[in-house]
Amino acid sequence: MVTPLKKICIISSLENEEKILNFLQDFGNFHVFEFRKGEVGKFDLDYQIAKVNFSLEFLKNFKKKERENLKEKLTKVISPKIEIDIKKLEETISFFNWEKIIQEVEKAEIDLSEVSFQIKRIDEEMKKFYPFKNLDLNLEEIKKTKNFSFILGRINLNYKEKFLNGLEKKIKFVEVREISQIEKNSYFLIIFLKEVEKDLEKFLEENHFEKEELPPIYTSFKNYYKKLKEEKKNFEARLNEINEKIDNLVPYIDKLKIIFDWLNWQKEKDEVKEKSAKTSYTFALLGWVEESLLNHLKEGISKITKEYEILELPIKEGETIPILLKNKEFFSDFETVTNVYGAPLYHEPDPTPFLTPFFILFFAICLSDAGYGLVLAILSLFIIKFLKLPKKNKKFFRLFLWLGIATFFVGALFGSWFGIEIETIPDSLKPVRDFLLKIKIIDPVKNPLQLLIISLVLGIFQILTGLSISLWWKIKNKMVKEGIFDHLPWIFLISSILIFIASSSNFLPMPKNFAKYLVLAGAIFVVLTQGRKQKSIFLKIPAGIISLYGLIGYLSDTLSYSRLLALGLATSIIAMVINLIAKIFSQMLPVVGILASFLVLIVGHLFNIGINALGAFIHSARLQFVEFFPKFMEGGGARFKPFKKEGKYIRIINND
Amino acid sequence: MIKTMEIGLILTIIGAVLAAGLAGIGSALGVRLVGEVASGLVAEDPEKFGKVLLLQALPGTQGIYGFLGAIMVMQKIGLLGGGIKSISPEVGWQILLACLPVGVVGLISALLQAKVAAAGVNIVAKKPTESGKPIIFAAMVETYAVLGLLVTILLLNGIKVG
Repeated sequence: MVTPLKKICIISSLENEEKILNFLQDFGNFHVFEFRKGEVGKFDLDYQIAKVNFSLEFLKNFKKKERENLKEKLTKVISPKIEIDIKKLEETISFFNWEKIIQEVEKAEIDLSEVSFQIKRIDEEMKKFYPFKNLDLNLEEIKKTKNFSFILGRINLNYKEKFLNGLEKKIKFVEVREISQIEKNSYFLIIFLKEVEKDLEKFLEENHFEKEELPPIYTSFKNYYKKLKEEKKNFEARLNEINEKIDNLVPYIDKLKIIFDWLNWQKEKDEVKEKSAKTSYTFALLGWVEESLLNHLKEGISKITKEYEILELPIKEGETIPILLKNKEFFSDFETVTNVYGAPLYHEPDPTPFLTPFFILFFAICLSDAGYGLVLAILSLFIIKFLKLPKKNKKFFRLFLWLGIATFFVGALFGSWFGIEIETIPDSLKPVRDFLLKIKIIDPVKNPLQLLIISLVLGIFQILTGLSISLWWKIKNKMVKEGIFDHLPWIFLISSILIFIASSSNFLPMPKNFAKYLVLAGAIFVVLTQGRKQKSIFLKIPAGIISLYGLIGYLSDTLSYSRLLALGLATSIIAMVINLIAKIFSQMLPVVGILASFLVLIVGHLFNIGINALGAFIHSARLQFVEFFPKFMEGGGARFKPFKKEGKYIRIINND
Repeated sequence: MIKTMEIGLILTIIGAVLAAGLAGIGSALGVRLVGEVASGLVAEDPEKFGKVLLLQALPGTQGIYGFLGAIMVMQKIGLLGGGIKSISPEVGWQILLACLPVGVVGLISALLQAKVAAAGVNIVAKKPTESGKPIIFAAMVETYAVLGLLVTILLLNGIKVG
């Protein structure tokens, strides 16, 4: 049902604005309407929110995996918000020094990146000097001399022998010292007289010697390496300290989340302030509220101040009124489907209760397996019963509970149980087999035409229902003439065509001619009424004739329902194939084959349920949106978005 | 020399191959396209994974329909057990043709559906609360794959073997 709303204007003194807004935010049923286009500029709060968000994102990386049992894990996946009561929320807001924590987090982040950078730098340096770390010599001393110079480098072990022998023979005034051997390379320091430099360079190049350039260090390599090591140790100690600090900050994540949401609520409140009109002493706030909650709202405000006025404003023609759908328990579960499409307009009927029976039935035909329906229903029931979920999430699973139950019954009629052909059930289970065979009325795999006809008839029935809803709605809204002339001829014509088809295929015992005249009467009825809006009398009849073309639209709508058969067949045939593959596996190998076939059965059927439940859901939904809704509604209504405390991370629970 | 009965069998198998092959290729390409676009979004916002995964799965159904058609053919000619039936060339041609709707329509509709689904990733990115709508958009394209499958099933159902 589209809930009736009142457009109201709250006027009070400015000093009460904050309190009243606080009340409205807790009240959570007031849709704020812009009085003037407020400058939604930057708020100081934006900066603080960004800071809290940064801290949260940073700390998240250091959170350790908590040990949770399956139940807790599942609950978290389905409903990740933290539940908190008002008392604890207020406590956190007033006593938690979040600004200090954020500063600490920011500092830890800067320190961490600095120290990590230093450690990385030292590691690279150490890697370079590693082969020469035992060289107890300050090479800068050699550089200072007039006649001597040196080269550092490495050579592959394969060439080492040749290199050493050759060097000794070919070049004079040279001192070679092997410093280390790492993997397949030998590292050397070569000190030489400057006058042989050119010969040496040439020789080195010919003998696969690779030079290493190291930065000047003004001390011995040995000392330098030791110094690096110590430096690293210091930095690592600091890193540990920082990590410890961060570990101490991690437990604040939950509290920071509360602060994050709270800051966002404050920001939303500021935005509402921007939307209200103000004089020097008063403010006025426009908005929508449920008719039934208006008194509650008045009461709440009168508790804050006596200086207030709530005006009920008339609704102008053509004004956009926000839409709030409210349905009785069972139907409300199917609002999920309506919400995918969007809201109806304010003066249109809520399609939810009308789509419910069709949606359930169509989904069941598309999934079409009793076993699968049972699995869906049991899974949903398990989630609803055993996980502590908020109402909103429960709705969704209750929807699947209904769908699963319906699928179970339809699947039983189709005789499809996990794709098993019930005729093949062994004699030892004869009573079960006989019972299942007895309730099996339709076999879509062997006789698809039967189900095709059922699908199309269901389609026509839904189209007729849609037209009837429109007729009823127009009559209810005192547009009796329009309703009757617009819809009754079509309802009559479509029904008579249905009767004609039924009688000509000997389904209905009726003289063929009678049905023929019925159709003819319907067509004349349509021609006479549908052109009535034309002004000229000469146009009325041609426009009526042209409107008969609408039959093609109804025909294509009807054919669209054939998807019910196709999707149903897809499920049952894939299920059979899975059983077949499992059978082949079990016959191929002993023991292992049986295990493998079990795996195929479980994974295969779960996959089939998943993919076909998805298909069943979207195609049944599409039939509502594309074939059903346009018969009686336009849609495109704006949603009722109350000003309330809705958090990204937390949900407030009332303990009363 | 190939015997005429064997020609019938070969034609039938070509039909099954076309049904599963064409539709499978379409789905593979389609799922890839949506997957690429979705990765871009998930890199920014990993929490939307579940929502875009549904979109990615949509162009994958054509492959399943094609597979289904192929299996129905195999079952019809006894390739899955029960002994291969003898098939005349005429019946072979009939089965081959019956396989084309699910194969060809599957191939093309999977590609086109993937484009719609990939565009729908945008909606999920910008308006997460409306993530049901792109799924319906993509399902509009899938209608024709479903109809193709339906025609194949009905045709195969009508063809008499042996």
